[in-house]
Amino acid sequence: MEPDENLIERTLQGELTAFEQLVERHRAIVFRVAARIVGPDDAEDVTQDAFLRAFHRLDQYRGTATFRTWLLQITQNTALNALAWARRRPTETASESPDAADRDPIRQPATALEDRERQQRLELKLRALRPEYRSLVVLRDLEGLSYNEIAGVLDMPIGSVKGRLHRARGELIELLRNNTYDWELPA
Amino acid sequence: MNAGDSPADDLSPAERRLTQHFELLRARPPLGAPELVPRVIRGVRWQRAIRGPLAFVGAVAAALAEGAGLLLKRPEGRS
Repeated sequence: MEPDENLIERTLQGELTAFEQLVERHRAIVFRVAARIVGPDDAEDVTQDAFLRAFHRLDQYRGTATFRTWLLQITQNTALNALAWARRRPTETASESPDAADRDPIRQPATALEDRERQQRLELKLRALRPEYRSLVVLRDLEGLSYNEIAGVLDMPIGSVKGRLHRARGELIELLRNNTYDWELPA
Repeated sequence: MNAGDSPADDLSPAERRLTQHFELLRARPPLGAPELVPRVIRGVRWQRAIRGPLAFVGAVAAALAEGAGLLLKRPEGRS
């Protein structure tokens, strides 16, 4: 597989097919991070915007971090900007709607339905976290990035990443405890 | 989690339970539509095409504004 750095170099020389390969290679993680920060409805727009920004700033990529880290930094910033804009328009509340678990009309075994319902409830609670905390939980607990890479994405020291992540998880735990649904979270 | 990070991260029992719940989300990740890639590339092509003309128009506008500013500026010493 051709390294990202080669593809970047070729893109900078005007080869759009090289950039297309970069998009194809990283689109899954960019989309997942975007979707989990802004929600599924706006995730495609944020993903597209992040890649466009990356393309126009590609000459500023210095290679001090991996391309993925650099791209996720752009994605994270784009997603937070999108949320800031969205605050101006009426937003969906993070409370659990009674039909939140009934979006899939296909009949499924009870356990699968229950899992689906728990997943949707957890997604809503995750989106109720303040955006900065949400990013941390997404990058660490859902995407499994190292503390070092998260520090690069968020441009903060590793110690701050750990401290904020601890507070983010604590806030999410409180949100879940205040919920009617029993998440079985010990004290 | 990645190698190099402490294995359990000194998680509290509640945090450990929370990370177990996260498995629900990790198991069903949001998937982008396959047409996302061509959409991005179309956007890049379009923006690249208008970037040059836009930069030119911007430079002309800036030059005109600077010229107008110089013409309107009174030379010092004249009343």
